[in-house]
Amino acid sequence: MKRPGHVGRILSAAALPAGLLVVWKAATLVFRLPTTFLPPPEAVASRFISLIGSSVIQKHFSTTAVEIIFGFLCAAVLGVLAGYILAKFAVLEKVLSPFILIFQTAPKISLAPLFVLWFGLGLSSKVVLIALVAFFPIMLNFMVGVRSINPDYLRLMKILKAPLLKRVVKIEFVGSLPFLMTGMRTALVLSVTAAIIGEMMGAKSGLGFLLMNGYEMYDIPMVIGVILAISFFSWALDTAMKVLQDRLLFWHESADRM
Amino acid sequence: MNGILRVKNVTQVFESGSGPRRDRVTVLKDIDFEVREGEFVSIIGPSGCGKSTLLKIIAGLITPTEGSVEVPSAAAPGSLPIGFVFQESVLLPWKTALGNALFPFEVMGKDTKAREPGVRDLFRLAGLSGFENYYPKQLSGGMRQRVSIVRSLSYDPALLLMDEPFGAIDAITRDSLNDILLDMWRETKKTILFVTHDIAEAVYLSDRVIVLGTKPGRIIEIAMVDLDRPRNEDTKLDPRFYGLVKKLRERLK
Repeated sequence: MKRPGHVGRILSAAALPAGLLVVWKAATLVFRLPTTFLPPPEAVASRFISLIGSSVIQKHFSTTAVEIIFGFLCAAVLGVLAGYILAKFAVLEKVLSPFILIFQTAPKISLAPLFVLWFGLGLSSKVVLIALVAFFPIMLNFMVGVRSINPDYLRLMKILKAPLLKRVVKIEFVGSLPFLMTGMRTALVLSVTAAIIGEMMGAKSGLGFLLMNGYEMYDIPMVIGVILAISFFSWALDTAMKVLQDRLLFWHESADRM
Repeated sequence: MNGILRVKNVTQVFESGSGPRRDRVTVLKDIDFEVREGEFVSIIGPSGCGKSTLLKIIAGLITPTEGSVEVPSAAAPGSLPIGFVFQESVLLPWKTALGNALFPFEVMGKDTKAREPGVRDLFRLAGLSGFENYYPKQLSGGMRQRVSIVRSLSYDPALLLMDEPFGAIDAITRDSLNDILLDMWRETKKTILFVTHDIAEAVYLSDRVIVLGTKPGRIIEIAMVDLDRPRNEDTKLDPRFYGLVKKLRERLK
């Protein structure tokens, strides 16, 4: 059988979105849908293009990006610290594990309105929400990573009379990077969701705020346009994370499969 | 003299569980022996006889319940007394073979560049020249274990402890690794304590073989190996070789 060439692969990849566009356009024509219900694709496309070019979205975008950076960094630092402590002190983990499980499974995103109430419409309420949501995958993955390190590595460090900091940094941290990176990738995507939901609950700017504005004004082309922009943003973040993952983990078994 | 390893009446008891229903298992009982400077001594015994535990006690990884261990002091000032080779190579997968061999200096906060020529000499001795910049996953199991030996010798320890280092390696590769190890021993003049469950391997390599019995682990025999050195394929055809192997096999039954 002939394998599809480069052009063939692009065509087959484009088939699904193209089909969707056709169905979408046909639906708006056949059912005579008003723009306030489902606008036709070209209306969304032109709104999207004008949106991307405008300075308005740049302001909202930078608000959301700053929230994600701060929230994610807080989650990463706290998650790594807490994950390490739980990995090393099994007793503590045993005592805390029921609470961790409850916290982990609870829909933390539902706290968004409360955080807006407590921390206001600005940056801090979103940072707290993002940090909370992103914390768990980072902490849990790092904890598992530190625990999964072959004890012979720690014995080697003891024979080499390694200071504690060298052991932590050179063996435990680097050795659990494959787990940490997986956790961080999950956490980053969750961070975007948390930022948007937080802004929808109450904000003065941000992509979620813009989305809510669109809803309130029945500007559905803008709503869909903003959703598209958020999706691209989220995808770009994940891709950047994957590139970082591949570069850092060139030595790991998973690198052979990629 | 400082070149001697002295193991004095070491007894090791492990406790499991807690309270009155606690189990006490005597893993090693009254282990007492010495290893001279530059000597190659093997410890053999059935699985569960505590030979790995004994090696960990000597390495200072476990404090014995009773008895004591006197380890020869480090050859060079600022070096470490003990080199340890594990059953698996325990190389850092994110470092090259050379990076791994220089890792002890990195940990000790020493200038790795200055140590590179010496380590490269060890690579040559181990037959690994040309593989310095390979990553562990690009090397075969036998080569990884050789890098691990180079790492353990890089900082010139007074005593090299080896815990079934070739246990997971196929028989053909193992024969050549044994010869490489003997070459490296002759060149570096290290004191080596080698744990294995392979009687022929122990006899082939060693000056003396310590035989441990099980439940509790104790010394049941110390056999001198009076075979000529350097040893090679002919050694294995020597009647004294298989006579000793046979005797030790009987002893372990």
